[in-house]
Amino acid sequence: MSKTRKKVNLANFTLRQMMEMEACTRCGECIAACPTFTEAQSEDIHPLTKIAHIKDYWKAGHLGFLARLFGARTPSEEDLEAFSKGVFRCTLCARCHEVCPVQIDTRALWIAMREQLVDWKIYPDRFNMLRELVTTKHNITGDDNANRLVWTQNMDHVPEGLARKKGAETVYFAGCVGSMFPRVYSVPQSLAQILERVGEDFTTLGGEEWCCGFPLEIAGMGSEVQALARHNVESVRDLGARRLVTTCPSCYHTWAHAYPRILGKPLGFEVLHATELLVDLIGRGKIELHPFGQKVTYHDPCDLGRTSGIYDAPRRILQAIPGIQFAEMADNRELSLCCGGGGDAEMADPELTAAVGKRRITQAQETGAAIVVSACQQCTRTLGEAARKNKIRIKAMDINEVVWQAMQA
Amino acid sequence: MDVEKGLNMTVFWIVHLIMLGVWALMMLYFLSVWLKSRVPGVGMRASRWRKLGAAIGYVLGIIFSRRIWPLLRAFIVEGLFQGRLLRKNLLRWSTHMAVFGSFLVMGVISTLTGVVVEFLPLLGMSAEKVAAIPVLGQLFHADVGWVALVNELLGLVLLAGMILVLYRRYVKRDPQLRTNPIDNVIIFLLTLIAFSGIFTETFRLLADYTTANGVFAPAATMLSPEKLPPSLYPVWGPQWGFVGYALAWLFGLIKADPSVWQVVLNVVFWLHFLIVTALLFYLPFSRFAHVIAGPVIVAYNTMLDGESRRSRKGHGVPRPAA
Repeated sequence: MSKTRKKVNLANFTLRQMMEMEACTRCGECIAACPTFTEAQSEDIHPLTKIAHIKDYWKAGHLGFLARLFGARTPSEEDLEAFSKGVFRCTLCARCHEVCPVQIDTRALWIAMREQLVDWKIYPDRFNMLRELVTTKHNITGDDNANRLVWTQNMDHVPEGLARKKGAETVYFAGCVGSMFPRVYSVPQSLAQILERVGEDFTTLGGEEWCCGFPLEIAGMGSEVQALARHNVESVRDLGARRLVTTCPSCYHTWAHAYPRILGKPLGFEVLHATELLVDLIGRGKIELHPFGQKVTYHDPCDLGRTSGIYDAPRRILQAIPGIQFAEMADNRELSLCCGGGGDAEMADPELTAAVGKRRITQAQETGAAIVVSACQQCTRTLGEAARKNKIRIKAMDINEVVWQAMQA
Repeated sequence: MDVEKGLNMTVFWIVHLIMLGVWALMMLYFLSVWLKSRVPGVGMRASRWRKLGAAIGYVLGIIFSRRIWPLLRAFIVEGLFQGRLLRKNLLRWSTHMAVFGSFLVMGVISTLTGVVVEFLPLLGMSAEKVAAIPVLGQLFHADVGWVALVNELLGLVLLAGMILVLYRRYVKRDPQLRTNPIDNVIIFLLTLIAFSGIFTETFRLLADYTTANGVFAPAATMLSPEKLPPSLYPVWGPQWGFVGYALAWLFGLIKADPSVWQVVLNVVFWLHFLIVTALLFYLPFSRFAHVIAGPVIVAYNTMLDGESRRSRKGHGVPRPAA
């Protein structure tokens, strides 16, 4: 095994992260909580190993004689390959953060490790394609971005003013998955119809909606996100909107938390996830809900729950629907299991993420619910896929679809 | 004999302070490397001095703001007393506290003892005057009853903690633990520290209180007034260090000459010191860096978590029944 000359660029990490790596006690709490390790049983994948390795690597590269004296080892190319596999097969669900006795901000740390691996050019090839598509086509599928409103094509009635209506109060940011994946077209369709029904003055960015940059940010290619952020924010400002609403928790997180940091200033308009808007509309009596006689359970999307702290709004929406029976899954809220659809991990190891999804859909089935509701089109897609592949009789629906159905019943 | 013992301790303190100085330099070097990382609010290409300045400024900004209270609370509850671990698992919390807590308290007592025994006399205070300082002055000698008892209990708690560590890792084989070869070495050394501490105490008692006939017969008057000022006679009570005392009594049956015990003491004492120092030096390169970084990070991150939870919309909404 040949030793590499690759040295960790410490500028990929913050001072806080340097301390967090030292603060890791290697207690192993994260191992028990890691959904991908549970399925893969591979030592390279769990948080404890990842932290131990990167610590070893930076010390070997930066502490010279002292590192050699105390046994920090220079990695071989094979070591780095294995390390990369572990880092990129993580769904970034941040469950490890919730159980960590020293509260390490693990998700940010995994992203920093990915940035380092991108610097070293040791990452799955498919990420190059992702970068290419997002930076040139401005979406994750490579479709013509002018077709952003393709999801409206099979609607009986398309709400007016959907394409960049100047002066609209609200901009609906549908996101790449909602806009481009036919299986979840009904998510943006539902929200658009709800907003129209309640008389909200809303529009979309149409062909000017660019990928929010989340897939690149979490791939460790965050430097590419600035141009996307600038374009999207300017597009919303051009319309003069007062707020932006998303159905995708990852887009929401990027708009609400990453953009102000990347641009170095507040956005100048409010950012809401659809569940926050819906719970407000229900609270103000603007949405009339009819009985929905089904037993449902709710899956917390990682980027809405653990990453953004929104747990109550979706539950309050569901509980506001008459006749609905609600059951929590064994793992919920802060300790919710991942559906497998996050962290770009599906691009690195689809079999593994399918296994993660299977565990979650099985947990949903155990509640006896007929429907597993989520507030994320990606989770809905992943859970639906898991149910179909594993022949589990439970339907996956987005919360916007449930609300829209309850409005019509 | 007393002159020799005094010289021995002076050599110890000189070596100890030099080693601590070297360790501090090593930690500063370590910090200088850390400062190659990003410090928020400072450009990537900023000098390490600027980054250090920004980091210190940030810390001072917290200290002189209302954020200091939640930070202090988190430092004590989560950092020192490991509240999260306690809520999770009593056995693991007990193990952690037994090892970490006893080392921490022994470290504090050792530092105070160093001040009382070595530093204050350097300022010209006589042994009698130092010993007259309320409570603190009684640390002047390890055979003051309560000092002996506290040290003994801490040693036993540490030993109990190490037994729990050994049990969990090697007998119970907790599946979430990962043990690498260096962990084995460190656990062995920590256990050795606990044992060698007890034996250091045992052989010190034998060296101090063995008569010329080789009989272990402790009496306060066997020590010189410089070592045990007469004002401490009423509180003198080596028997409170009951394990070391019992072992000393047992070894005393050999009836060896006090000079023999002195040699044995020197060997065990320096061995104990060497292991502690070696571990201290290895600390920043091992998982045991968490001893320093852990309480700081858990306090800071807990404070941030609390702040972000409070700032989230819908805070305070009761959880729906499961």
